[in-house]
Formats: sequence, C-alpha cells, structure tokens
Amino acid sequence: MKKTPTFVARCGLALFAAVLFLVASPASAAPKKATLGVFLATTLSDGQERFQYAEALAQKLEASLGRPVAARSFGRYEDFSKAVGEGLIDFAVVDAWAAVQLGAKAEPVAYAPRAGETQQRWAIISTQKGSVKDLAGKRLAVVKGAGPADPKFVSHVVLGGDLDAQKHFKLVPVPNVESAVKMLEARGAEAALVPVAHAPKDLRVLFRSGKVPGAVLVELKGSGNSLSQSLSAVGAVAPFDAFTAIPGREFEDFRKLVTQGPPRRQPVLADAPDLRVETPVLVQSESLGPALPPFTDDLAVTSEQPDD
Amino acid sequence: MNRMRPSSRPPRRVSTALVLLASLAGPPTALAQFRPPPATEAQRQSEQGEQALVSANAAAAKGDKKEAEEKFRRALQLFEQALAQEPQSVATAAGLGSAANALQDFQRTAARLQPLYTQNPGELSLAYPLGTAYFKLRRFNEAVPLLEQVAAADQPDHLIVHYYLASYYLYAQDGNKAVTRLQRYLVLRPEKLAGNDFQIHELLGKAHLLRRDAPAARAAFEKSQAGRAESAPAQIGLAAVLEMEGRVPESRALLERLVTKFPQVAEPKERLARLYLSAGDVPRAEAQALALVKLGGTPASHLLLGDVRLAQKQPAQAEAEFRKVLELQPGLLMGQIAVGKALQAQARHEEAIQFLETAVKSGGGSLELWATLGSVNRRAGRFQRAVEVHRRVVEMAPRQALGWMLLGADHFATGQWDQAIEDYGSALQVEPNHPGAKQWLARALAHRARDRAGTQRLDDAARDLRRAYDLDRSVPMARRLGAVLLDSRQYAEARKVMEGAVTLQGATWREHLLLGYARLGSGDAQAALAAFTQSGEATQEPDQRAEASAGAALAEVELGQVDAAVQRLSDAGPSKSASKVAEANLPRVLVRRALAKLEAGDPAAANRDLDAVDRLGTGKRADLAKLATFARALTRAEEGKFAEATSGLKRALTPVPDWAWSNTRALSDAWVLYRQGKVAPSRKLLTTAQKKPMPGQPRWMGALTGALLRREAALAYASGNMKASEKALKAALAATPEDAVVQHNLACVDWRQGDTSGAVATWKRLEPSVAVAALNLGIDAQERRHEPAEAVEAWRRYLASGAGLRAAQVREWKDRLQGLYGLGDASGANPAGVTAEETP
Repeated sequence: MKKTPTFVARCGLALFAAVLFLVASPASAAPKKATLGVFLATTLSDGQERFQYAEALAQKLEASLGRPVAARSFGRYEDFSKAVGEGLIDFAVVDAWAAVQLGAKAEPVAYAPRAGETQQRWAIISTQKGSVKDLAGKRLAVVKGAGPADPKFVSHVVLGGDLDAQKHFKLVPVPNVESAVKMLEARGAEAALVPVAHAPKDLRVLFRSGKVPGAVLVELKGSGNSLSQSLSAVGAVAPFDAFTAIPGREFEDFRKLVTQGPPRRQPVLADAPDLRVETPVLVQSESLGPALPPFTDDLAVTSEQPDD
Repeated sequence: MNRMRPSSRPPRRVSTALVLLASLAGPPTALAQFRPPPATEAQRQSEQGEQALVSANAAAAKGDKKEAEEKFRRALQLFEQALAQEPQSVATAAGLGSAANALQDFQRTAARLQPLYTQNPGELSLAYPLGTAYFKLRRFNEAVPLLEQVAAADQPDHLIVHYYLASYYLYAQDGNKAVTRLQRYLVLRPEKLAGNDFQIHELLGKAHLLRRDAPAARAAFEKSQAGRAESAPAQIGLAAVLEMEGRVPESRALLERLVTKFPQVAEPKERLARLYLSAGDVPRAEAQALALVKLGGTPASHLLLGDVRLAQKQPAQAEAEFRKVLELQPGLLMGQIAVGKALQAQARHEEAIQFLETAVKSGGGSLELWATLGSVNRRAGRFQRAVEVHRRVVEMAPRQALGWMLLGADHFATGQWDQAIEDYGSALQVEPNHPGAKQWLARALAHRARDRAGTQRLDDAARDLRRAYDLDRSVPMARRLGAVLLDSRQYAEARKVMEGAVTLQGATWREHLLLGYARLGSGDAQAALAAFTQSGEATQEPDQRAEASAGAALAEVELGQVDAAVQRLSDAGPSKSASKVAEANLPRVLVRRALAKLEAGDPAAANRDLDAVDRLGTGKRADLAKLATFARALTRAEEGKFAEATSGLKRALTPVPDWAWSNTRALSDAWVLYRQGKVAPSRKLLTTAQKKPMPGQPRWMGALTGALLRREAALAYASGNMKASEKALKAALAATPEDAVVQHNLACVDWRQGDTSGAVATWKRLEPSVAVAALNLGIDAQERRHEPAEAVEAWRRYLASGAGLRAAQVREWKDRLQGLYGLGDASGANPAGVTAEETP
C-alpha cells in the first residue's frame, strides 16, 4: 500500500539537496561534446517552447560542465526513442513516465520542477458531460510518450489501478498535448488525457488523478555523478525552476508503480494504543511519598527546675 | 500535769494476792507441806520501801510536799539497798522507779530499770516507770514502745500513759494515734477528773486538725468551749478550723477579734501574722510579729519575725531573728531550718550546709531538717550529699511523697532522668494525686524523651512522651509526643494525638502544622491541606507562614495539584525550614510529575521536568538520582531512543535501589523491547518478571502480554504470515475475549485466508467501536466485490470518524473512485470533493 504513487512535494529535501550541490566542487570534464535531448510531449504544450528550453538549458550546461553541449528537441516519441537507441543522447529532460520506459539505461538525476512543483496532476477531459464510467468503449486520446508503457501509465498511475484503461477505452495515441486537444476538438476522440495545467478552459474535466512526477533529467551515458555535481551552477531555466534532487527511492517507486501497478489493497489491522508505563508497577510507591521535615526541635524542654 | 500523775500503787499487792490464791487452790497436803522461806534482809527492806512509798503518796495527796518528798527519799533509799542485794527483784526495781520518778530523778530510773526490763520484757510493772522516765527525758524513741505496751493493758492505774502518748503523737503530728489515745483517756478517766475534760477536747481538736478533719475538729473545740467563758485556745482552734475550711476571711476576722480580746495571748497574733504573710500583706504581718515579740521573746515570735524579714528580703535580719530562736530554744528544729534558709538566702551555701549538718548531728533528726539540709546541698551544687540526705528523708517517712519528690528534684537537677522518673513514680505510688509529682514526672519524661530521640531511640522516646502526656495534657506535651511519633513515622498515632492537640486551649500554628504532616503521612492529603491552611492562617510571621505553605505544597502533590505545588516549592519564602522542605521535595516532586507525564504519553513534558531535576540536583540522595535516571530512560524509550533507554535503565537499576521492585529491571527492559518491536526477547523478560509478581503488577503484566501478542500478530500480518498472526491474535483473544480490536484484526487475518464473509460480518458488527472496520469494508467492496459505490460509502464513514493516520490515503482512494464512477457525496457533506460535474 505504501508503494501507491503518492508523491508529495518535498521542498525541504529538495533545498537540502541543492545545498549539497553547492558544496560539491565540479570536476573538470573532458572537452568532448555532449548532446542534451529534450522530449517533453506532455509537460510543455508548445513546440517552440520545448526548443527554446532545450537551447537555453544546453547553454547553461555547457557553462557548468565546461564542455560543449548540443541541444536536440524532440517532438515525437519515435524520434527521441531512435536517437536514444543510437546512443546520440548523453542526457535528457523527459516526462517522468517516459523516463520509466527508458529503463535501466536512463539514470534519473534530478527533477525539473515548475512553479515549485516536481509533480503534477493529470486530467481526463471531454467535450461531453458524464463520468469516466460513461466513457466505456469510447476513444481516449493519449500522448505517446513511452511506447508500450503508455497504457500501463494510464491504468496504474492515472487511474490508480481502479480501472483498466485498455479494457475500458479505445486508446488513441497522439504525439503531444496539443494534438490530444486538437483530436478532441476534431471529434477524433471522446476524451483526452492531459496534464491538468494544459486542460483547456472550455472542456470538461471528468477526472483528476493524484500527483505524478513531472519532468525529470536523466543521464544516458556515464555515472551521472559529474552531471549532478554541475547542476547547482545551472540554476533556473524557463519555464522550469532549478533542478532539484530526487528524494530517496521516489523515482524507483514510481517506476515500479508504472510497470507493476499498485499493490492490491489489503485489510488494515486496527492499532491498539501503545502500552504505557505505569509508575506503581515499576516503582515502590512509598519512595515517592513526601519527605517530611524533622521535628526534633519540637521536643525542646524548658530549663525550669523543681525546687521545694 | 502533776494533778494527773497516778498514785504509785504497789504492784506487790497483786503478787501477794496471787500467792494467797495459789495457796487456797492448792491441795491440802501440799498446803500442809508448804513452808514459806524466811524473808531475806532485802525483802524486808523492800517491804519497808513499799510502806514509805504509800506514806509519801498519802502525804502528796494531802498536799504536804515536804513530808511527801521526805518519804519518797526514804523509799528510794530502801529500794536502792534492797536492789543492791537482790538485783534481780522486779518488785524492788519497780518500787525504785516509782520513787525516783516522783523525785524527778528520771536518769536513775532509766539506769536502774533498763537492765532488768531487758531481762523481763513485757513486765508492765517495769515498763510503766521506765517508759515514764524516758518520756520525761524526751527519749521518745525508747519511751513510746514501752508506753504503748502499758497502754495496751488498759489499766485504770496507768491512765496517764494515754495522755503522755497523745501529747507525743500531737508532737509527732500523728493525728490518728493522738485521737485514739485521747478518746481512750476519756473512757478510762475517773469521774472526779471530768472537770478537766475541756483540755482533752482541746487536744482532740488539735488532733483532728492534724487529720484535716474540720468537722470533727470543730466539734471538739466547741465541746471544749461549751459552758465556759470564751477560751482563747478553743477560739484559736476554731480559727484554725475556718482556715482549713478555706474560710480565710472569717478566720482572719475571728483572729483580729481575738488579738484585741486577748492581747496577752500570743497564739492569735502569730496565727494572724501568718495569715497576713501568706496573703502577701507583709506590713500587717510585721506589726503583729513585732507585737508578738514585745509580748515576750518566745521562739515562735522570733521565728515569725524572721519569716517577715525574709519576706521583706532582709535575709541578714531574718538570720538574726532565727538565731534568737535558737538562743531561746537551742536545737529547735524550725529555728535550725530557718537559719539554714536565711543563710542560703544570703548565698552563704556552705555556711547553711554546715549549720544544718551540725543541727542534724546534734540529734534533731527531724524530717524537715533532713529535707532542708538535702535541698540546701542541692542548691549549693553538692548533689551527691543532697541525694544521700534525701534518701534519709525517704527512710524516715516512706509513706510520704516528700522524700521522693526531693530525690526527684536532685536527680532532675543533674539530668539523671531515669532516677528522677523513678523517684517521681515512687512519690505517686504513695500519694497518687500529688500534683507536683505528676507535673515533674511529666517534665522529667519529656527531658529523657528528648535525649532518647537524640540517639535515635524514637520508640522509647514516644513511650516516655505518651506517659508524660497522660500526666500532663498540655499543648507543649502533645506537640512533643506528636513530633516524636512523626519522626518515627507512626503517622496514624501522631494524627490521633495532634487531632486532640489542636482542640486544646493555647494550640498554635505549629500544632496545626504537625497535624498537617501527620495527616499527610497517614495518606489523607485533603485533610492535611486543610490543616496546613489553618496553620498558615493562625500566624502572621512570614517564616511560619512559609513553613505552612511548604507543607501545603506537599499535600497538593498528593492531590495531583503538582503544578501549584512546584510553584510553591520553587518559591519557598524566607524560612530556612521551609527551604529545606522545598529542597528535599522539589526534585522528588518533579521526578514524580515526569513519571506521571510519561504515563500520559507526554515524554516532552517529562523531559522538561527531568531537566529541571538535573538543574536542581538531587543532593546526597543517590536513590533519587537513580530514580531520575530511570524516568529519563523510560522517556528515551517513549521517544524511540532505545539504546539510550536501555543503558539508562542499567545505570538506574544496578545495584537495585530501594525504590525498585526486585523485578523492575526485567519489566522495564521488557517494556523497552516491546516499544522497539522486539517481541520474543521482551516476552522472555516478561516471563521472568512474572515468576514473582509484586503487588499491583499482575494487571499491567497482563496488558503487556496482550500488547506483545498484538505486536507479534501485526508483524506477522505485515510479512504475510497469516498462520502466525492468527495464532498470536487467538492467544490475545483468549486473555481478553471482549477486545474489539483483537476481534477486528482476527477478521482481517480471516479475510486474507479466504473467510471473507465472516470477516465482513465481524467488521460490520465492530464498526461502531473500531473505525478501521469501515476502511476494511470499503477495501472488501472495491477489491473483492468491485462495488465502488459501496467502497466510497464505507470510506466516507471511515473518514467521518476522524481517524487519523490513513485519512489522506483513503481520501485519495475515495476521491478517485468518485471521479471515475461519477459518485457524488450522497449527503452533500463534502462539496469540496472533485466531481464529474465540476470544471476547474
């Protein structure tokens, strides 16, 4: 149960991690050129924005790492996947669920929070009234972000295991958020899954998910140490805040949730209150009694003597 | 007195008669054979002496003194000659005694008759003249037994003996014996002497005064007065009766009349002066005393004037008067005592002692003289001699308290309490209502008790003070007894005493304070607080109020008003005693409050109190320091710092302090292990501790057993070991079959093992008392039966119960199901929840 995806923003921990980065001194890297990939099909809704972000971040990283960094922005999962497969990408900023699909070869390094949030909610939006239940057999536009992991992400993470997306919907893959919304407007789908932040105001939100990790920086080559050590100098790159460390095993838990789904709910034992100590059981009570003062002075006698 | 001298009848007549009687009674043959031996020369002379004696008595009866004396001398001469030849002749000796006594030659009588009387004890014919001679010689010790012997024979011839004895007994202050003799005299005296009975009644009156029998004395004096012109002695006697009856003004009025009516009679003046003196009217006393001296410088007059001078704080002049007394009557007891006292009043102790010692040696061995001599020695600091002399007083008057009282004072002066207590006890045995003996016995006991308490013999001290308080039911004595009982921790007894003490006249704040502590010690804190409050109200002294406040604080602790108590003790006020009480109790109170906070599950507050204890320190009380360490260790366990807890327990409990039970170590370690989740080792220690449970422990031990089983079940459940979990829960349920939580959890295990319907029924039954049951009913609905609406409803109930830890999780579940299935809140109680209709 504790492995269900409840990701609470841990600003405190993030700050702490940032401090650690400041303390660590960046080692000078080899001047070999590195490639930064940016694939944010859902987190950023605008292609131009993704491109500008990639360029700006590459510049910052170059300064921070002390070696040239080239930026490559991907609009489609297929392109990104191919580039990764060909080993062209050294590190990348991707949506968290997409990072899961990259598997062991992608080591998560840091979150890229927006407006102080490392996590975001997802929404099922529709032009029609009703509930998710009413959409049985209807088409749901889903951004193609992680290949085979996409339906699992919807069922396990967004729907919390309470509904099987593939059984309930006809999933319609789209390249990005803009196309998902457009699909809805074009009546190519009855509903679409988008981050809550990108839900257009004129559409109905039928369902909101719990919080899900957003953009994450992964390293695809190397240990990730040098990269994480350089991040402190990078700072905020619009529209994101400065990178923050991933607390504990949070990403691993997320990965597990995506791939395996939430564990089945099991009955919970009721807690009896903890047994407390009872003083008389452990301490003989007389010894806790009052310490009376001595009364010897009250025995005083007068110096009067009998006489006849 | 001459008048009453009995005629010296020859006892020989009797013996002659007896001889005659014997000859008449004897058998004729024997009579015929009897030839009286021829009379010896001595017998003849003796017979002539008898005849001379008869003639002398006859002459005396006629009033012819010269003739009588001549005949007596003749008789004496004849008897002396006869006795020289026949020294064993009782009859001759008796005759000689009569003649010598008649001639006032008492020494001769004593010398001649004593040897013969020793050979013939009980011979009345000798006892009578010999006793009379001794009496006249004032050798009373020898005279009285002889005279008593004669008196017992009750012969009219010896009538005078009763008179002699009566006057001796009056002199010796023995009223009873004097009365007996005087009454006997009145019975036996011949009618012709009745005219003088008024004198006998006068003496009877005096004897009754000695017996302190006022009505009898009054009757006697009235008889003496009857039919005569007003008699000074009878009237003086009546004045004495009035005084004895407490009618002092009447007595004084009578005496004032008598001194005018009988200006030449001394006694009324003396009595009146004594009355003035005892009333503190020294000038009038002086006037009478001076008049008395003027009347004639008698010993009594100078004695009186001396006493007046003493009262005027002129001991030197007093001494001069007293010495005049002794000039007039050398060896007079009262005079000797008075001189002794006058010397002492001038701080001439040695002289006083010497003077009285001389008086004692010169044979005036009276009770009062010895008593005074002893006391003078005591005042001069010569205690050994004082005791020695006062022992004589006890020997002389064993039936009087006087000697014992004096010995008690001697031993009291030297702090020999054992002896003093014994002395006063003996005094009370002979005079059970002697007020001085009671008072000083109580005080001596109080002194001894204080000494005994000083050497930690508290029980003995308490025994002494109980006895003292029985004798002297005063506030100080009650306080002493209460104090020693408090010190020996006999609180119930102390309470009884002090409850009584505060009702006595003159009880103070201190008695209320002691009562407060006694009540506190006997466990009645509420009543104790009332007493301390009363104590504080009974005084205005800041120190005393501070002491009362400190006591009140201790009572407040017991009443659970610990914060108020800590406040009072932290600001103890000006009194040193109060500060000491605070110092002795504040750390203890804080440790105790810390333990109470732990019981209430507030380790932070417990820590604060223990920090305060660390700041205050526990002084030399190692046990208290260890108790603080113990409390701190338990606090650490409550905070989850188990290593610190364990090492703290070890430090606190090795070696085992007085306040710990023998199994405290095992139990507290077991508890820490339980808090740590280490079920098996905890249970092992608990089992050890349970072998010898202490009072009050079994219930908690049972609770720990149950808690360990529940913990074991939870751990097994979490690890998926349903069999182990079930076993533990069933064991727990066996001990507490009504425990709803255990029943509920057992249902969870059942559900996991497939008995879902039984589990659901149990949860439904328990839902009112166990909130988690609703959560689990929701889980069953969603996970097993896929009834999201039911699940939402169940979880809503769970959330409404206000259950804490899992609320966020369950709310997420509920919200998600509501979002997915379009389930609104049925009651509309939760409009903030996300619904299908809502648009962001």
